[in-house]
Amino acid sequence: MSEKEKIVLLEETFDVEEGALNADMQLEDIEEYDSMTKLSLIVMMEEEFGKVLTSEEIKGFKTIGDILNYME
Amino acid sequence: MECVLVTGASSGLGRELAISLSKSYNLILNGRDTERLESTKEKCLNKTFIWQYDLTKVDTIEKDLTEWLKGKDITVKSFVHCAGLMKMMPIRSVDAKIIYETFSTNVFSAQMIIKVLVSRKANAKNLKSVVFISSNISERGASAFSVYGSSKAGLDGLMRNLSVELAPDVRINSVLPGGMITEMTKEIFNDEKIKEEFEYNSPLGIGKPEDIVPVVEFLVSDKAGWITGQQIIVDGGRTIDITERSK
Repeated sequence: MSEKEKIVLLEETFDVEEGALNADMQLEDIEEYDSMTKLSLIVMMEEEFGKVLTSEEIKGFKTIGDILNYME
Repeated sequence: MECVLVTGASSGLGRELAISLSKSYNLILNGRDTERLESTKEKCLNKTFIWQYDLTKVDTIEKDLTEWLKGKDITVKSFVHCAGLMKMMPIRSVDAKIIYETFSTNVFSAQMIIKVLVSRKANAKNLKSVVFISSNISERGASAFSVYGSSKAGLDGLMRNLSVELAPDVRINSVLPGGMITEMTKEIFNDEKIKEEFEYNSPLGIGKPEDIVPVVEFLVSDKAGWITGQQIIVDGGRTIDITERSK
């Protein structure tokens, strides 16, 4: 999956406008990155990548780039 | 031989229930994973059988369970439906597959199993009591619980309707646990913040399977002979507490 495709997937997961996210963005600056989005992220990772995302791993994410690196 | 059928017996509350019920009854353990069911069986005392079956396959439950009971020449006196699928997800992440899997495991399978167990042909009309493991969310609501919560509400609806239809031969009740640390929920409680919030909001603290087991055993037994169609909330006071407190 290309980085562009991953970003599109994340935009759907975060429920934000197309083009709203990029790899350098700090998660703490994204208003939509709340507990519901984190749950959506868990579901998406399992469905799309077969990965079980733990709460510890979520805590480790600081930027959109960190999440993109996990999406493999 | 008369038995108690326990679904979801391979781990968590179902396993604890099976181990405790085995002190008084012969058991049939149901789950998907034979190895884990065997490990529950090792801890059980009386005669214990394993009915390995994936309850999401609702279409073939009737045939499979009927043939299995006939093959073993046993009947079911009580049924404890502990199998439960819980995935927390916001509505934006919900798809038809998870709705189907959750409702199949939590609700539809129970209905088909009861259909078999009240049949003269398959179970000699031996069924006397049923206990559903529901959840305190059945009567409430919470973010990210639209699938699981509605399935448990559905399960309790099934309980109420069948309790009327099957009286006086069969009693059916639900136990509604609150937040407990089990195999199903351990990942949630790994988050210290969530655990703290739960403890803070539960007058009697976070529950354990041992808090639920005696209530189920009572409802299964003849001691609960005049109780049917009821939801018994066992949640440490979580849903009764309206105190406003500041941390």
